[in-house]
Amino acid sequence: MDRENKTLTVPKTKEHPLRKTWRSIDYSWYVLRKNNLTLAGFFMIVFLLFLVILSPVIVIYDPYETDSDNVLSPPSWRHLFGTDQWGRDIFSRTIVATQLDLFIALTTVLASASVGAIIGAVSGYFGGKVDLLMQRVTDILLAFPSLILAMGIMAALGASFWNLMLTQFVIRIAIFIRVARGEMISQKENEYVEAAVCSGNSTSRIIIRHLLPNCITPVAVMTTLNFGYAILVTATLSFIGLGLNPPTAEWGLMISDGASYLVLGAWWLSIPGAFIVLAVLGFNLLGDGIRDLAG
Amino acid sequence: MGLFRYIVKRFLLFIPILFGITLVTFTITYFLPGDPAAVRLGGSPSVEALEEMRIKMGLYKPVWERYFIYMSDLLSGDLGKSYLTDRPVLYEIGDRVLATLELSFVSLFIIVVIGIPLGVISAFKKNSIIDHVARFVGVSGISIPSFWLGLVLIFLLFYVARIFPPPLGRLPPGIDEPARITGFYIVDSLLSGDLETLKLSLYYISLPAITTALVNLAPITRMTRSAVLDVLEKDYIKAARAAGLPERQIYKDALKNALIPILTTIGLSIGFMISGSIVIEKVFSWPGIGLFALQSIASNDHNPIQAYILIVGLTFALINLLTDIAYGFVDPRIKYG
Repeated sequence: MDRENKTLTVPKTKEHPLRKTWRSIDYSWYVLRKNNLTLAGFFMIVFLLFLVILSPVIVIYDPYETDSDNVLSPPSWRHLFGTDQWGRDIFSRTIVATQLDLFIALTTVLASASVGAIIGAVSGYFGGKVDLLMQRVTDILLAFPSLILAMGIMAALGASFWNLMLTQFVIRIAIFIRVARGEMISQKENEYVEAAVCSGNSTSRIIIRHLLPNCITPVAVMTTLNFGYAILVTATLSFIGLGLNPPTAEWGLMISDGASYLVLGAWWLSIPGAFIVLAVLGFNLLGDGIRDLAG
Repeated sequence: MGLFRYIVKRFLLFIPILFGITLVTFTITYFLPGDPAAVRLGGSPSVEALEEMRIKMGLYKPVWERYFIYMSDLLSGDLGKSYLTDRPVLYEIGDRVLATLELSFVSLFIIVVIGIPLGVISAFKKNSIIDHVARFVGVSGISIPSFWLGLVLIFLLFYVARIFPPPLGRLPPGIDEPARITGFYIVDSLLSGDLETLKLSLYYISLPAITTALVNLAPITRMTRSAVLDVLEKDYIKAARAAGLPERQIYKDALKNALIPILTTIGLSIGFMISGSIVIEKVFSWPGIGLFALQSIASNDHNPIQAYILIVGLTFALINLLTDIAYGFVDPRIKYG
């Protein structure tokens, strides 16, 4: 009898990991195809990443090498985007800047998203005095327009790469704490949590294995929508002299350096701005698509 | 009764925020680089003079005592003096804040006049060409850095097309400002009947205002569109349609009910325009508080920086509070939780 029963149970098919990956790629592609604007955003980001990957091949000039014989020359085959007032090749500088701006945006947003989500989730789960304090702290951080907060912190710390990274992390963390906290408060009332408690799971296991995965959607949406904004903040801070220092190849800084020549005819000095628009627009369109999908 | 309690509760919650804003502002100023005593004395003062000035300015006092002094000064309306000009910061900012406000109001006017109708049309003619154009302009608007848009517009419309004036502030050099009545050049020149100055000030404010408006247009258009769409889905609109009410009446009803989120977005836009003015003012040499803050940062003049961050933070927080309260007034259905 026993043996017969065993043969009757449906054997668990174990999916090959590669096949599973393929299925999720296939699904993402299907989602992208459904919406033209999301697809456009996707290609903008892919294009920029492509440039970053190809940078060892396409950056043929030293982005920091000046050339006094070749100052402010318009785009040509030798200098695809022309040269700036120091004779530096703008194409090479723009590509190097793409690498830098994307790196700053991706790392700082991911860092504040993950730290903020954990703080928010824990604070929302336990509630009490710590949660109350956390709420007041986020209230205060969110009381300032983030650009002004960033400006103030950068003015105090001084313009530099690591200070910019820190500032980007700080100005964004409050919003992630708030989003994760709100989601946690509504999730923890669910019955699956009660079930997990009854079956003897530890609190940390419930938070990490059961609740956090269910809180991830709004955090993920917020993350994609913030990539573009982070790029704008980096460029804007550098433009007003409180981001990175010259001669760093950074989009905002390049425009700031060339502003007085730009408005008087050297239009090619504005090309890095088109890259900012491409990157921010790409992330915004992608973020909108993901939000529609999640909501 | 409910409304009253709601307002009181919002105000009570506002107090710790005010406290926090001063704390953040103080902390940032505390860490600002540069020696305030050296900036105040100017030139190359002797070591003794510097030391004396530091003691006089209370720079050696413990942090908490300095915060306490800052707070008591603040409560008596004293924002300190600019080290550079030796004038009270309050006057320095008073001279400039109206330039910022004038620019913000003109931009807001453009936004409301263009953004709301555009949003309403987009909602009623969903998926039409106008809708697509409006959405594209909207998404582009929030993706374009304002400084870049400003520079490109200056290049195209001043340098190439010669339609707009150079980015040299509120009036061309050599033209006297109108007699000071309100501090807004447009209003002042109108009141004193100086049509030439009125024309010039409108001409000079146009490009910075258009730039600010384009960058801030998106939130209002988007919010109007989605708010009207939301309302149009509601049963009472369907009922109104089914009852055969004229389309005009339906427009009016829908817009009225979509008003709250639009109002909030307008409030937030004012906050963003004031904080974004720091960039626009640099691009157009507009002599407002944003440009002043940047100059103060460059010259290590601590008190104006402190005052600027405080004022922008307070304005932003106050606008948030007011829009929250406005919610309560406009929509009686709101639960005053």
